[in-house]
Amino acid sequence: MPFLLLQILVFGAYTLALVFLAGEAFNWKEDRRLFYVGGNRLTLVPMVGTFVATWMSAASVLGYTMWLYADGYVAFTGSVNGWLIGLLFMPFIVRKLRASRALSLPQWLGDTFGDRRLRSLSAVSLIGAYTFYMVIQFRAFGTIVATLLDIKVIVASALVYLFVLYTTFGGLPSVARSDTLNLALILGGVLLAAGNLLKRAGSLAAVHAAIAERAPAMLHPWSEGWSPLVTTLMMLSWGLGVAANPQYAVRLLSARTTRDAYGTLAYSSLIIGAIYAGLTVLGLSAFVLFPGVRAASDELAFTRLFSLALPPLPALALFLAVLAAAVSTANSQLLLAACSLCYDLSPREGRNRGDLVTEDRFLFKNRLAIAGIATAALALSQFRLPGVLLIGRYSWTVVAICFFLPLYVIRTPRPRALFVPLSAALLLHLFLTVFLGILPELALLPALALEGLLYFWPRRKGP
Amino acid sequence: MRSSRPLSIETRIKVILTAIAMALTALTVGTALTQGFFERAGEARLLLETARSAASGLPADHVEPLLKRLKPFWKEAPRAQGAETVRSADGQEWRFVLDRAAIWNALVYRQRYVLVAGLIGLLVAVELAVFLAYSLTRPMKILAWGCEQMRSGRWVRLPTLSRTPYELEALNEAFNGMVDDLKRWQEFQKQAARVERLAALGSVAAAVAHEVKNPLASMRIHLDLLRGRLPEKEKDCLEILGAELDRLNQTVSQLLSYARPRPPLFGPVDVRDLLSWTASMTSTPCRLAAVNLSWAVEEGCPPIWGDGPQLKQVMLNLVLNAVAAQPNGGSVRLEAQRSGQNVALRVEDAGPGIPAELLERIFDPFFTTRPDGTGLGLSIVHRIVEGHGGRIDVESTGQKTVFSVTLPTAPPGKKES
Ligand SMILES: Nc1ncnc2c1ncn2[C@@H]1O[C@H](COP(=O)(O)OP(=O)(O)OP(=O)(O)O)[C@@H](O)[C@H]1O
Ligand SMILES: [Mg+2]
Repeated sequence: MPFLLLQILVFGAYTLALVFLAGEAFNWKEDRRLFYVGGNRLTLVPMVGTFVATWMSAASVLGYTMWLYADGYVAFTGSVNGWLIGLLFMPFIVRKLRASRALSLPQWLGDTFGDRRLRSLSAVSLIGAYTFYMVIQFRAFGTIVATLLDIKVIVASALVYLFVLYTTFGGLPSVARSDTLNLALILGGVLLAAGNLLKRAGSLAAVHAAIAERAPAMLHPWSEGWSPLVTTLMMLSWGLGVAANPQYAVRLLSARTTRDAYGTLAYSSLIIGAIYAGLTVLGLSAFVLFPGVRAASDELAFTRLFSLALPPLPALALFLAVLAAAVSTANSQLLLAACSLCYDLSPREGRNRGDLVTEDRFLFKNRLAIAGIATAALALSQFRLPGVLLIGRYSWTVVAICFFLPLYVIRTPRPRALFVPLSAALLLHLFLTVFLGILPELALLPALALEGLLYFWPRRKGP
Repeated sequence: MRSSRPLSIETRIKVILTAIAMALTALTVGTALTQGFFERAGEARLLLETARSAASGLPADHVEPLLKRLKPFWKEAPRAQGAETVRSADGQEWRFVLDRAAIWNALVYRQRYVLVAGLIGLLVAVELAVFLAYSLTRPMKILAWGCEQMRSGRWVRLPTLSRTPYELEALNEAFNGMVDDLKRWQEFQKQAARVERLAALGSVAAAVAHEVKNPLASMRIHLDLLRGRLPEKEKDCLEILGAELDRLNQTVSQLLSYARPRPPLFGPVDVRDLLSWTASMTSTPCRLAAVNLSWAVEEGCPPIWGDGPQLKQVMLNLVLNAVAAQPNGGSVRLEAQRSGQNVALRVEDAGPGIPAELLERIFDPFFTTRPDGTGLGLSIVHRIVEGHGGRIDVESTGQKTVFSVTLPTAPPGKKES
């Protein structure tokens, strides 16, 4: 059978699996709690599925592997390490979050400080961050499929757009179900590909030996170019960004019990570790076996490298894993963006369900928002705007500024006391990034410091 | 998880549309591929034939470059069974077989957009299916909700949905119609139960009244006999005793006339006479309560077709109520005017009015707010007016109350003429 046909059939099979496993889009007894947080009833398996699948984005699978392929272990120190640090923070907020019955993180923030402005501010930054992150997912997957099938990027992006749209229409229950499928594909694809390459390279020790001979700097965990300070700061701010990311926090809210929430974190860290280990093996052995593959973008280089390095079937499994990673991350981000738009930015929406008809209308509005935001992201992904990535990183750190302090640092919130420190931190961040041209991730740290200082200062002076 | 549950509409529609999309894609792509394959194979054979006939006249080293042109579709297979042979003039042989895989690959590559479009079509079909299913299930969901509500004793009407198919709208309307009818039926049953209760009460009251009336009459006679025999200073007591007896008697008569009404004896009743009689009869209570009574009859007002004494009782009861409502002075205005085939009698007072929540009960027998009232006055009025084929309405605000009685001017049979 022609390989191209096989590829398309595999994508078709994925479509069918998604359509019939992700289940109902319009639940018969749905309300906003079910739609946003799965009615706080998700059990351990879908919880782990959706947590890990959301964690592994196409950008991180690609970006990490290709960075590793180019620079070696410094990629781990510079990115994954930081993300895993973020994961370590998470157990500390489980109880705090679950004590509130909020449906979204902006709502939690607004409720905790009795301040609607905080809710709107964080909702706006969430919409921005997630929209731009979706752009990245669409683009990553679009480029890969476009290269594989030799079709236009827009057609390939439309495919992932429709996958994402379909799974998000059902709200969190359907996102979680499809994420479980996606996690299986990610894990399977990465491990299959890694195992295949490792068999050809001999063993991990052989890979290390080969690297030590050819490019010993790659085994060094710190970059020569960066000072350890910058690396540490980078790591820290990645960690803070992940720790404060509502896309994980909201999953802790939706677990059925607190025990399940802790269990999710524990099992997820194991699976995430396994996937990163697989990706590490992939990147390093690919370097040993097929060095020197270059292309205009990470996505192109990834496709070219692994079409070359892997036999057709494991390569297909790996690309399917990237598709699954893109879909599973984008749909949860899309859901959160729609939630921010329809729920957190609409002052009249209460947390409890209205009567049947208003609830129905409200959720329909959410679906329109989902379609609208996804379409906007698809359109943005087709313009080769140079700034898109930067805006994405920028809004990302804004989200971290909004949530890190209240989630992890402030123990007893004072009503309406956070808005001013938060605004000052955002302004400082804007100033540092736009006028001084500092990386948004690095500017995050002084901004957070200022926010903390302003928040805690008056209390020390007060009676 | 819930394998026993039957498939939902959404899943069914999804399955159908998916099947259609897949079948269509398979059909078009399959046809295109098969047709393409045979065309390519035909072309390849033609190419081989030309090469073969050309080769038969050329030396081997000239044939080589010629055979290169066969490459995309033919591959050399020196030892294959059933291979095509090409022979050069000097007798060298090449054997070729059709390279099917290469042809297929080229074809699939050519059709790749169709294949991807099929995939996209499949996804779009599924998404459409989802919304199709939604538009079907939404009204049903609301209907189910309505039934649930009704079962738990809450009366609901289903909201009219925008953009639903008319069949489902009909379902909605049927439900709402059913609710309305049920509600009316319940209301009717309540009414019927009340009427029954009142009727039972009425017959008991009538029996009691009947038994009380005769002893009362005899007590009255003996009281009158006593009057001559008692000394002058005891006569005050007798006076009071007599008045109380009269009151008792009146109550009993009222009760009787409510419980066992006499059918009206119809005849023309002059409206002017009716009002002037009422005014003169109530002049004493009016004076006592400092109420100013006035009356007016419209020019050319026709006579009422009714029972004179009963109509007098109606007016008397209404005016006495009006006076009783203004113990510290006020005014009562009686008016009569023609209104179409009827005559409208109005009794208006400037009293404190009737609270809205009591309005629907004032015509009930024994409903009263006055310590010395029987509560029978208005119920008798109501019954008489109904017996005349007329109607009575009340309008009451905080400053005034208006009772209007509309009565026919001609017997029912002659109305049309
Ligand atoms: N013109 C009026 N203004 C205010 N309230 C009135 C008026 N007419 C009737 N009502 C209210 O209606 C009640 C019922 O009236 P109805 O004539 O049936 O009984 P009654 O006047 O209380 O007793 P009865 O007429 O047997 O002495 C009265 O108790 C009074 O509260
Ligand atoms: Mg009365």
